[in-house]
Amino acid sequence: MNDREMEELKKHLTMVGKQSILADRYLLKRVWGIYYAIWSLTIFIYMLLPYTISLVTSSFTELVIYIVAFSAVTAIAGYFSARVFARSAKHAAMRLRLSNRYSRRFHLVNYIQIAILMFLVGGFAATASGFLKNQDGGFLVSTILIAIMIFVLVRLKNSFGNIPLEGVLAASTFLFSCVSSLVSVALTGGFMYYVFFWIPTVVGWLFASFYSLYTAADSMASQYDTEDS
Amino acid sequence: MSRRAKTSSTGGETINDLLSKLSQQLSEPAMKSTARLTILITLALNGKMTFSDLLAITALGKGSLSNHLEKLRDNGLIRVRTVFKIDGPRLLVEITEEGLNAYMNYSTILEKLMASS
Repeated sequence: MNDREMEELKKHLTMVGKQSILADRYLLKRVWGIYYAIWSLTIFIYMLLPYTISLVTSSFTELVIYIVAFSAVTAIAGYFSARVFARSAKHAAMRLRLSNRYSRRFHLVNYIQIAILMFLVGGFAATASGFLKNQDGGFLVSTILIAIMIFVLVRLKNSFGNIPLEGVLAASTFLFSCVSSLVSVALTGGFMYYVFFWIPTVVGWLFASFYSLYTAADSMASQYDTEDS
Repeated sequence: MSRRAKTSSTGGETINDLLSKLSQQLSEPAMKSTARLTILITLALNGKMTFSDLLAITALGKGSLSNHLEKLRDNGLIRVRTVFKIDGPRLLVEITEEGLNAYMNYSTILEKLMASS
């Protein structure tokens, strides 16, 4: 194979790769749409669980059910999140290959990010459950949640090249809930209104989910136009 | 073989070796068609997909897609099975270990071609 043939082949293989990646955004949009829906539902369950459990059981049983139910809900949502993140990492690796920015370190960075995320989730669970005694528990929980959201935003950027509109909406409502619920705890000295400030996140993420699923096909068509030009 | 193909070699295999392996795996002697490679890449990224999703992604006709899938299946790169869902039976296409190897082969070719430019 001479240099000219090699150059043609390179163009062809790169073009196929780019087309596949652009088409794959359609699927990724749907995957992220389901991700928003799962977490919208999960946060809603987090909000409801303490009230429903306390209505039907005694204090000790309440605690046990509380821990089991939270762990189960988090495990299910975590499992689907891990699948979404793994999926976006594969997509990102392919994108980097096509733009000649791929290196073997990509996977190492990926594992480090996951390790940091696991550490954050562990820290959140320990602080939020009261297991880790800390005077600034509320502040620490909010900081950890914001750090987790930053991780999600990095994954979104890896998936689409830039953060899509529904991602910005999801991040904004999440940030609003984090900060406002923390302020409410600081002002009232208790968790009386804490849960209400998470309603915007539930609604916002549900809307982000519908928007992502609804616009998946459109975004694929428009991305083709812009990327090819 | 050109000087570029020789100098691009790492780990014993040149780009030409890898290309010839990939063209065999895809039954694409000239490596000019995009359909089978697109299906392979999409399946490698997703693991498994329904026939209707592949139709949407590749923009092929049903008959044409079936032919491409048949060739990929004959070469052991994918497996096709019917699954039953609430809204009726669905044709599910899954990538095999061999298919993932072919995708890795394509990725390596791409990396080498990019590095050689």
